Amino acid sequence: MDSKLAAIIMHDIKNTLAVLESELRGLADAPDREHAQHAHRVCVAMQEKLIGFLTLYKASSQGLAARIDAYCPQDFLDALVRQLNVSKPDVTVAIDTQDMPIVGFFDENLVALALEAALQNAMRFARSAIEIGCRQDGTGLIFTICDDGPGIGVKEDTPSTGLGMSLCDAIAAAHSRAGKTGSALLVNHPDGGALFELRLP
Amino acid sequence: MIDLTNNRFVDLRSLLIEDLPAMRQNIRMQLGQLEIAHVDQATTPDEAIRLVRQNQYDLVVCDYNLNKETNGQQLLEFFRSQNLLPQSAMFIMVTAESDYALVASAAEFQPDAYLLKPITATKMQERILRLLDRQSALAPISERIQLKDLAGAIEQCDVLLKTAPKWVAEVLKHKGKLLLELANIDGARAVFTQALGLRDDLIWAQLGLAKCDIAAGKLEEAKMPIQAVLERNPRYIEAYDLLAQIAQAQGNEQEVLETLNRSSQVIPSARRNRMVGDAAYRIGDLEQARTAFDKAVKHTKGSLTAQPSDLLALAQVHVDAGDADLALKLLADAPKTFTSSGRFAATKAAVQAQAHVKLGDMQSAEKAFIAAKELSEGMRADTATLTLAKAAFSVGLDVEGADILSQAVKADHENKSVIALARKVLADTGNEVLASSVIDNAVNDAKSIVAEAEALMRSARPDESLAKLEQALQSLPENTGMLLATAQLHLLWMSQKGLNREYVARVNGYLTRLDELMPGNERVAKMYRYLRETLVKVVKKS
Repeated sequence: MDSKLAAIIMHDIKNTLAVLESELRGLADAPDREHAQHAHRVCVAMQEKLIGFLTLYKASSQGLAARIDAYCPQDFLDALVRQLNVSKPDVTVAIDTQDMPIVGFFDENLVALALEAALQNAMRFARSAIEIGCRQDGTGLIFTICDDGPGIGVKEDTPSTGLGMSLCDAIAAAHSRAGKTGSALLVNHPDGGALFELRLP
Repeated sequence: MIDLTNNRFVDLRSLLIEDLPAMRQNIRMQLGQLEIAHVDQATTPDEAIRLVRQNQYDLVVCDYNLNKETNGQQLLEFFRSQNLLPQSAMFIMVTAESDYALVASAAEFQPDAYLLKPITATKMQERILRLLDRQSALAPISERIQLKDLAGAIEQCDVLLKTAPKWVAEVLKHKGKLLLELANIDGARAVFTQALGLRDDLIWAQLGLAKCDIAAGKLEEAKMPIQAVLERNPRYIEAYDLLAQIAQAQGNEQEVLETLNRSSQVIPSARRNRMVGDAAYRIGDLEQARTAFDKAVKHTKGSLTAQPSDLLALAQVHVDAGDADLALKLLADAPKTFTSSGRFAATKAAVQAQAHVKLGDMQSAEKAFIAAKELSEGMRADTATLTLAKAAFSVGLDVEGADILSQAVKADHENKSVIALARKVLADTGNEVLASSVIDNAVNDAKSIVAEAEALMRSARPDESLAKLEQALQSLPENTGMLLATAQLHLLWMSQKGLNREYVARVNGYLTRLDELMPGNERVAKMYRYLRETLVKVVKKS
């Protein structure tokens, strides 16, 4: 694993911890439900980041094996959205059921990790809406996430660590079949916003 | 926030197995947030086993990393192989992301779901909900299976394939397995092929096709797809077992041993070592048998998963390998929980007798043999009886040895492993010459009882026929061949003379016993079907 990436992530987690620390100090002085919920969300986000980091570390040190089984993509995505850590309450997350196959084959735990990371990324940029979909083509199963943000390549105040995409790459690569492996990509959507795709053979 | 509208969790009787107090408290709280009212907690595998023996659980949440000796996977293996959990119980394995791939790739007994740490109440809720959905979707199949109506279960599979397309993979898996159990090989092959049409790398379907080949006796053809599976995933444990099964059917005991050895390297569990030990002992590879049983004994030492038979097998191997003193020491140190069982005490004395003979102490040997005989008085003959026979031959009581051996064979005369072990007793004690007079005669005696009963049935003396078998079963209650024949002749009687409620009850009794003696056996499944068909026929007539 790239040691630079490790350092960036550690740095990021250190900063998040500082935010959490100050929130908790404030809460100790003046308990407040809304602040507590925010602190909790920060904590969950950090946890997710650490899991992503450790999964990536595992992938680079021992390789990652997907445990492919049959799942219903709609049920899977419904559950994913229900357990999503929403940092912007005004952004709606919808599931587009058009062209969605009834059954898809993938590793539910790994794909959930990848999509959670991609969703957090979309959440940072989205103005008001995120749409998740899943379709099947000749090459395999494709999960998609669209946001209505400014698209990719925008300067941010706190730039991304790149962890999310590296994680998605590793998880896509763990899904292989008959010599083909999966892939993850992030591009500008023709109608505006960013489009993330996780392609699994 | 967790939405608990229409809460389906309230009545779930659940068990949480986790050694770390903080983690346990955490998951306990999350289960509480889901309003699961009944949560028992276990901190060690032994505690979990005790609770599972006493209670019926709907949900088990188990951490993978429990302690040095037993992990969650081995615990699940113990529960499932000992039939301690109800079929409908949901088992969720909690693992760290670093263990997940390794654990999941080799699992022999699959949990219903894996959950990666850290767990949140919402994740737990989603997973349980999906399992409940699956359970209710597949209920029509499991209900028929519960009633032993496999043909009915297959019909339900066909209904669900039309009405519940999202469970297609799961339903096909069930259907293929059911068809194989009913020995409908072509039907099963079509189902597995259909599944591979959904996705060509489904391992269970590829192995399903191999199982069809095995069932059809095409053993060499079956090997190829199995080896292909292992090339892609060398940790897929079921593939090794199928290869071992093929080698066994081909009479290649050496290959059985090698295959099981490879599987025990993937999962070094007590169960795997036990399988290796048995295979090594059968071909007389005492060193391998010793290593394997030693591992099984050490692995489970002091735990409720410990099996008395491992210790006895290790002691017997010590004796055979000429280390009688090691055997005596091992047996003397046997845990109290074992020695309270009469069967263990009897077999222990029988091994001790052999050990004393090897050490030249004939007086102790004879004493031990007499003790062994007294302790086994009134006990049903089974594989442990073979040890007693071996002890008899060792102390020079050849006539008695032959008699005991003959009883052990008659007790289950179609059981190939009993017969192979009986031959080994004769070979080990230098009595090969007795093989035909003792073993073959015992088998023929039992066979002739069945043959006579069949002849009586054919010559229109059906009541005498049944009486003959009933009487034979009194003394051989666990003879599987006899039980099957008796069930069949009772059904034949009814198809000639009409419904007899007492006979229906009897046949159900035989089949229940057979289920316990040889679970998942194809001949037993067929007899259940014959019972069902006979009932339909005779009820229609009357």
